[in-house]
Amino acid sequence: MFSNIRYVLLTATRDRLFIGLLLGILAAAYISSVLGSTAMLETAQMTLSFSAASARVIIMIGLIVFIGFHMRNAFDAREIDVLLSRPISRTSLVISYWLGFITVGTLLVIPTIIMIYFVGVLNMTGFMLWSLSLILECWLVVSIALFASLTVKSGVGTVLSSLAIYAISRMMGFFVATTKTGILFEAEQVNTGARWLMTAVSTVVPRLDFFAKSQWLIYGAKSYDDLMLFLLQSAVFIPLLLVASVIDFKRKQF
Amino acid sequence: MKKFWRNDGSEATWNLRHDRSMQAAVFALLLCLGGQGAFWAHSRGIMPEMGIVPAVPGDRTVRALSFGDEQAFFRLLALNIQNSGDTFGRFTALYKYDFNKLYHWFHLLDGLDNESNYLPSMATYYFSQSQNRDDVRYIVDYLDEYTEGRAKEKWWWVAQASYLASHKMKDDDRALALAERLRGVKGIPLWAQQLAAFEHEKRGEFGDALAIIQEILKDPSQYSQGELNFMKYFIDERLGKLDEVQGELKQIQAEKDKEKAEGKPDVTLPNGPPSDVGAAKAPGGA
Repeated sequence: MFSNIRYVLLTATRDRLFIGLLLGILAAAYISSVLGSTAMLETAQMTLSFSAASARVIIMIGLIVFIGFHMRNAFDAREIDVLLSRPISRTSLVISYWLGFITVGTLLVIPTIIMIYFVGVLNMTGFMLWSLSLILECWLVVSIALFASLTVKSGVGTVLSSLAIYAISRMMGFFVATTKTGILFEAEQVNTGARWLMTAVSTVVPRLDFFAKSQWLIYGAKSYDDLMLFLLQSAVFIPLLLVASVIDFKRKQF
Repeated sequence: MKKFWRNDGSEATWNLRHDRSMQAAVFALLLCLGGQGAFWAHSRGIMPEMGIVPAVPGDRTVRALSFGDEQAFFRLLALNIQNSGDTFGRFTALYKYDFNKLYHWFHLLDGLDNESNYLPSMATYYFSQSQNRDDVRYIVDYLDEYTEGRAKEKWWWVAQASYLASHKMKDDDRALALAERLRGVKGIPLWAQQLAAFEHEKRGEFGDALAIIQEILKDPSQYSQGELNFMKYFIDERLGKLDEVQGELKQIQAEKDKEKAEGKPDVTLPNGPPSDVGAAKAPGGA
């Protein structure tokens, strides 16, 4: 298991994932500080929210692309077959991949948190909340991408489907709120249908809009609910995706 | 058959010049380049439409596009509004701006973050400088709604709205109505609490102005000797009503003198703007 985690880390280093993404995050932070400095007021808040949001997007997209193509390559180069010929269960293999990818993700998130600290902390509690939620968001995105890579048969398909789930997850709160108003469409039946559909979709799509909110960095958290919501969402959804990935992988024929 | 290959010493070289298909491709390339040149000549005068204030999107659109991080999107859009009209090397005079659109932008962005002082500062310090006096109405309307129900927290913007209504719009009724919002709000600078009194004085309503000052005088723990001196001057010199409150003032002065004799420190209250509203500070930070 540990050799596989090490292998994922080596691949990430070989593919210059760490250097590439960290340089991207630094460049985004620099651009954010330039943009922020042009604001007539609240320049620190501007820089902080732009840096935090851009760093989050860079990490998540980077991880999705890396996982998508790493796993596709492992299937195409028969690495998975070789690994399965060893005395390792399919469950252990999936978990070792997940551990490897979350290690990569965490190694990307930690420097980002340190960078945001140096950009300027305006609210320490909010900063800690944001940092924790960024790590958990990263783990959740790793789980989504790993699940997609095991179920979708192409690298591009994995990346696109993971990005779509990520975008929908970040917008899920908006979708639920909009359909609940019941005024989206003229026909009442269509509104009811949309509400049911969205309720059904929302039961299986995580609420990533509870994670890594820039407003925490500026104003702090409103209540403990902010913390509880993303902790609970992670505690429920990461194991759910892992179990689904394991079940799918166990059914695969090689 | 045409010879496409030519021996050039020991090495066989592809003679592209005599290749019919290559000739056709080069001809097509030149034709396309000519077409692009003609298109450039036709389109070089057509410029992208660079509006001043962008169209205001719907509230739902903005929330959807924020992808769950409304704060970051708020900052991005607010910066966009700050720079509107001054992009691509342009500088646009404020009277050319559509203030109705700006007003709706401010409202829309308040829905994403109404704690930030960014929008009211932009509205007050920048957009209110429009050469067109009627435009200021939108700014005052916005500040009025922004501060609704939170006069203590956002007193600076109430005072700014009152100032703009009085000095830019020349609408004393509006200025008074806004200043009245700060009447009796404890914990804010005394001049802001007295703003309505100054408006009443301007309108010649000296009795109403005196009533506001008397309300403030009732609580000496809220003002210093310096403020008391000012209120005495205001009542005497500007309202001409010193006789009506002579006794009251003497009693307050005696209390202040007694406290001073006992060595109690004088009341010190913040007099300047809050630290986060981007207002200029006097030397020494006051």
